[in-house]
Amino acid sequence: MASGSGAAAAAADAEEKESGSRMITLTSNEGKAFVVTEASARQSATIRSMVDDGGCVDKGFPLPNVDSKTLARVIQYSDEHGNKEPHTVDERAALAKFDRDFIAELDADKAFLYDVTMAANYLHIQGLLALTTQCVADTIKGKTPEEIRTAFGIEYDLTAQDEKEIKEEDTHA
Amino acid sequence: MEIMEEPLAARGVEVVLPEDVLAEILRRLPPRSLAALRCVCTDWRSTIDSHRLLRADLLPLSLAGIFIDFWGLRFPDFFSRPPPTPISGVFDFFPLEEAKRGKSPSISNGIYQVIKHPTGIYKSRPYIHIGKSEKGMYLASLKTDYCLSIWVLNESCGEFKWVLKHQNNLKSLLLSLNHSKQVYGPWILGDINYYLYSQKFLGEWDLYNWEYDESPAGNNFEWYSDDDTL
Repeated sequence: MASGSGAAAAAADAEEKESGSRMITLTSNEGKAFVVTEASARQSATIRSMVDDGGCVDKGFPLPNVDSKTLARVIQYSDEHGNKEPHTVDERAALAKFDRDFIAELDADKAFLYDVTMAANYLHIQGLLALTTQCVADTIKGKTPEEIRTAFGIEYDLTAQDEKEIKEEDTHA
Repeated sequence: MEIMEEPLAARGVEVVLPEDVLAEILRRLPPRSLAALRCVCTDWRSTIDSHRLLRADLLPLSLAGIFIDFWGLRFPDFFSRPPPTPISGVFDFFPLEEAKRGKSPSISNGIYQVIKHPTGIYKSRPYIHIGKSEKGMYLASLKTDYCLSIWVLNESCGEFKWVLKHQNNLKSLLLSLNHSKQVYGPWILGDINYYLYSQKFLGEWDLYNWEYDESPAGNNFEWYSDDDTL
């Protein structure tokens, strides 16, 4: 029994090692191929489930919704988070710093920030999605509706009736 | 690449971000922000509503101000955030002295009507406060045992009555309050009532003299029996 479970663990270990060293190809909508480690690719729940379903690892994954520039940036994130697991306090702090720098850079280019957010959503990279959506939320925070419309290029489309309803609904707030 | 460099305003966030992503963003915002964001546009409003991001029942109640009643002073004053506040601190809708004597006057069709306080209110010498809101007149009493009672003035068949609306003991609440918690932002003590009453009853009463009473009406009499030629 003991030796049996030991053998199973060893087998799982071997598989883990193998999967860790496997390389996966992701292809952008412009046809550019990005070769990443499986550990990095597994940051994406979308790809993870395809791999676990015994999917076409060898053929690679075409990502028709992601362009090359965005994919490169997403891979930068998933490499950092997937390839090395932080164990020490210092490693965790380094990863947190990476996240801060990563998002600060994206914050300077809002259109790109949205592209990365979209990709994180499409690929289901939870950590990256949390990072980017929090960044957008911070941009929204403290702005008046009018400022938000200007900042995001939203057309004001509420009718007088809508306004009245909102006001009424807000009175108890 | 060209798409990337397009100005942000030309590709609105609601165009760029599908509803589930927008919801993911909005759910990171505090309820107060969300309440305001409902009037950005119909998309945002429906996103907030359909994802039930805004739990109105969890919104902190806003505190516009507090009426403070100094022991030494004869009228309450209003302690509030800077204007515009939704509540006026002016306390001139009824003669204050009447309330202190245990009767609440009611103003209806320009006629004063004296309404008895709810029964039993004086037994434990509570603090009594009368307030007016959109919905009517309120009377609140806080007894020394922290029992808070609120009555609302109810009119039926021309009769005014105080109807008990709410009764609760605040002791546990007060004990559990985190006293170190601070609210940021300036608060202003509106001296409105000081000016109001000192102008109304100019020189007729000493601000700090609690015992002064009864005589304003008497002082106003300009009639002396000696001068009466009748």
